[in-house]
Amino acid sequence: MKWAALGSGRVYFWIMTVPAVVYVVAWRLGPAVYTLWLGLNQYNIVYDAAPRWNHFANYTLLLRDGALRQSIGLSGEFAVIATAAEVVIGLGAAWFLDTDPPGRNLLLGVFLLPMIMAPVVVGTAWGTLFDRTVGYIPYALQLLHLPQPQWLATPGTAMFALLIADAWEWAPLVALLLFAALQAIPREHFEAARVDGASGWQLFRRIILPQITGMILVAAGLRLMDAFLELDKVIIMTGGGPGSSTQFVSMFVYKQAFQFYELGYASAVITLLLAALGVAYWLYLRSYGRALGAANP
Amino acid sequence: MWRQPRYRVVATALAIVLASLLVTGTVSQTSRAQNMTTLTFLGPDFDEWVAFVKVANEIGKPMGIQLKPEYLPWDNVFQKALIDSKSGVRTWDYVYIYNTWVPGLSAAKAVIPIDDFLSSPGATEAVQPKDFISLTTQGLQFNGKLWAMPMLAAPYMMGYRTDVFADPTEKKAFQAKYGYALGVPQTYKQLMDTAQFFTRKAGQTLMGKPLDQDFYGLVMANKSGGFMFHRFEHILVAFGADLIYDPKTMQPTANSPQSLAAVKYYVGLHKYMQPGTETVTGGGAERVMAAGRGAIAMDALDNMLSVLPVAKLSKVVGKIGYAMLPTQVPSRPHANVADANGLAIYALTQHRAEAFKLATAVLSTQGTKQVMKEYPALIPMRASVIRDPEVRTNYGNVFNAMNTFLNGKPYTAFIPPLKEWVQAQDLYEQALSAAMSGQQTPEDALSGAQAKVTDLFKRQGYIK
Amino acid sequence: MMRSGPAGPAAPARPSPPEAGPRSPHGPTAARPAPLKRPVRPRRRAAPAAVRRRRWHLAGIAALLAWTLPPFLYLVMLSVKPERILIDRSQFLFWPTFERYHDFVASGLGAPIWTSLVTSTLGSLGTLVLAGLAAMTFSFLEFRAKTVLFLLILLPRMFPPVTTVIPIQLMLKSMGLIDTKTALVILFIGFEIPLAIWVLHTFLADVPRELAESAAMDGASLPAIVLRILLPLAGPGLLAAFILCFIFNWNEFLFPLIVTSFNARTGSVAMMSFTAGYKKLQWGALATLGVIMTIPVVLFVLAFRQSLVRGFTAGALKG
Repeated sequence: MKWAALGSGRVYFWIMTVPAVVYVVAWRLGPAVYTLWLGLNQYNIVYDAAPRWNHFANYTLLLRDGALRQSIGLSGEFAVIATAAEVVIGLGAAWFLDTDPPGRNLLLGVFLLPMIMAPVVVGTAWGTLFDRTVGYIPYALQLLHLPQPQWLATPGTAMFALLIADAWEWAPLVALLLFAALQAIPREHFEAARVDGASGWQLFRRIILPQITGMILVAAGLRLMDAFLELDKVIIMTGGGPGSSTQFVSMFVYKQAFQFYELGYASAVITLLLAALGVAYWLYLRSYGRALGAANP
Repeated sequence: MWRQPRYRVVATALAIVLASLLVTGTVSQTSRAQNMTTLTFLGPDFDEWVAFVKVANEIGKPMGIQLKPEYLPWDNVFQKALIDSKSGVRTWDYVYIYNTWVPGLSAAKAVIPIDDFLSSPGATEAVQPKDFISLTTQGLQFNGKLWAMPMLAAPYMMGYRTDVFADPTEKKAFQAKYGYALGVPQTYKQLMDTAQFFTRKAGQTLMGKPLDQDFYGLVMANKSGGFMFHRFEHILVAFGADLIYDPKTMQPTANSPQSLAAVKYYVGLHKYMQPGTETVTGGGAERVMAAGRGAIAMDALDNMLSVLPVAKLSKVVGKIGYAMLPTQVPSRPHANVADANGLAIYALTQHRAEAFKLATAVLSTQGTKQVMKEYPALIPMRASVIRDPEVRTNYGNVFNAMNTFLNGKPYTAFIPPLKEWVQAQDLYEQALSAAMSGQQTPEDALSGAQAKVTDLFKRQGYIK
Repeated sequence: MMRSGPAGPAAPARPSPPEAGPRSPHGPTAARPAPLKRPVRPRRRAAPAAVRRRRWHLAGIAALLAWTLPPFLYLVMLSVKPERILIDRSQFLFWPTFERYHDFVASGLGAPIWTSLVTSTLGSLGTLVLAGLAAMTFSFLEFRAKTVLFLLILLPRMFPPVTTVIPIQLMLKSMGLIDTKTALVILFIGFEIPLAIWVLHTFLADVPRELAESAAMDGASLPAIVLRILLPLAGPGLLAAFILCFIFNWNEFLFPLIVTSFNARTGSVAMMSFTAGYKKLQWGALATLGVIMTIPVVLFVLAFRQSLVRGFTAGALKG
């Protein structure tokens, strides 16, 4: 329905949406704007009595910060690989659930468990599982006489451990979304294809994939953003990793804000990151609309 | 939907669980008398503070004071005290304080110094400030003022398996291999040898019996994020280095020869530590030691005392002895970096007089003894308590350990009250971690750290 | 979030897609030209499709459970393993100890959990009301600024609480709401509105426009359309959004920590504090924490899984 067609209904529109908008503005946008402002100040919350305006000093410092660049690179790497893994696993799980196995709803409920658990708990569980003295993963490798990597103490394997934990935690979300998409595909398409003798693989490529492309993009977009900002698991499992090899960008911000108490600098970093993410997301939303249009003939 | 029996069952079950939780929750809370002053305490849920709160309530009852605690995770105590004081929240009276927090909380005006109160006549007699062991309270002083009433000292020491060290088979083998008698390591070279000697795989023998699990020479907590540096700093100081920078010139010395030697030593020692060392925090390391898997543990004394001699938690009760840290450089015998924990008064407290009154009563000699009864691993910061005959008989562990510590007159350093300390420490710890995991050589890692710390100091205006 | 493709009729249980195999005898084969002459190799009779499908199903179920359950079961096991043998990995069989659970509960968890429950529920309900109204009105209106609006709604969600804690604390203090359940409810409502709007919007995107438009042409006012037509259809979606909001509110830690002290302590803060006495920050206690924090939500989701599933699948709308 067009905005123009509403006529007197516009009043109602405002009444019904204004509360939500006010809420978001007051309790989310307001503090967010405060953060933006703080990025232009020098404010160490412990030692500075009040924020002190320092123009763009934080930003120039930020651009020279090699540790920040490394963090962004690591976070990006983590986000991409984690999302890819989650899409693959989620798709597999969704496909399977779509075949309507017995007890499907219960299975789906169980499969959602990791997503429901508090991130702190997930980090603890996986951190302990990988611990070389008390964890069962090294124990299993030991029993099987397989070579024993240093898990959380080596850069490569530490990242790998984090990726597994993340995939375990969030693949269910992707699966849930893709399952919804799969369920929405009209069955006649299947019947018709099968009648024409299509193989399973062709079925997937020609019929299923185009219809769930939209949802794959949604899920991937969502996960990319959240994995990029991953914090809890890193703090618990590696604390930034051997050296700084798993110091993700959110860990960097956390340290600045909660250990060094440099809120001004932390705010500048946050602003920069979110600006970048915002742009990326805007482009994604636009192309997603196009992709969706392309997917639906 | 609601008619389905399944939902009813679940809903009823949930309701029952919740109701019972609610009942137990409220019942376990003590009833509040009407005309009592209620003081509040913000601190971590550590055994010693739970004991403190309990004793404070006992002592406070006849005074008409009761104490309500709010326990938060350790890091969050600082944050909450800070943010609450900045936003004008007046809930608190007492705040737990750790020595490295003193510069920050005092600068942020979240707590008030206790000197003025202490020097008032009535207080002096009750509190006897001279009784505080200065060695252990220096960390709570800043800018010439004392910011907290000292409560718990936490010297770092070694805990070792007395049975393993006394075993004749082991002694013979050690003598044969290293050319000197097996004993509690007095130097860091001896520590390295001993740790190497006792690191055994499952199947090899220990004290004549085959091991069914790996045994480690050294058990420590080396998690990134503060634990690693906290353990390493003793070695750093023992090797004659500064704590990251030279306080007289404000020049960073992260890659000084002494510092480099210390890092190289630690990297070598790492081979003989338990494998999960980079991921455990203090308690985790002690659990490994308590399961009988290590020969020596290096940790804060109260950490060790709260796990190792406890029958429920430990398989090595009665088999642990405590000794001072080894020596490297002769001018710094048994070097260590001291921790101090204390009770500070919140700046915006509404009950200043009562707070002081109660605190002095609880932290007096008599009060401290009462707290120790509740929590035997408390290491008091009062000389009179340590020398008290009752303590000596009942708390042999603590007495012996503290006695060793005090009489041995170890070289004790304190974390400098520098605003950027946490940042500098973080940079150094990253370098140490990179060196330990083999990502970088100690030289490269420390050069990198030095460059970054120098940059930091320049930016903050300490050096040109 | 869930812009699914064109919805089809709700599908009854249907057979799995056929694996590559012999052609089914459906279809007009008669009209096809005769196949090329090829030696006919005797084929071993493949197992009937039903048995094959069943094997796939069992394998899939096993894989799913093997992937999901072990870490959780591990936590449960750790939470009841006696402390002395906790790190002996070879010991699988032991007499469980419920002491840790007892300690947790005895530490006075009743009130904080109740607070969590009340504030999470009220917060989620509030979110649903506000977000629901907004989403339902958005969903069938076309206007150009939609993308921008979405962005505005989503971005604040990404701001980490580090810096937003202070202004929020100040606002609450000036309203005199420090350490009250009301403050928590207010915060929770605000936190999840963006997520709820997004979830509901995508869910409602599949509502056929014609329903709303024909109603409008019949002269129904906006609120009437929303309340009488969209609301009933949005039922499962609202439930799904409620569950998501509830989960996030339940697990919320940092804001309750800063904003409350005694009276409005939440379960998550209470449990983390208890576990984090550093000597206690050990695997047994942490595992117990994990189990206690998760169980209520797990029960909740399992009990309402059917509605949850329906809420996420657009097909239900077309029933």
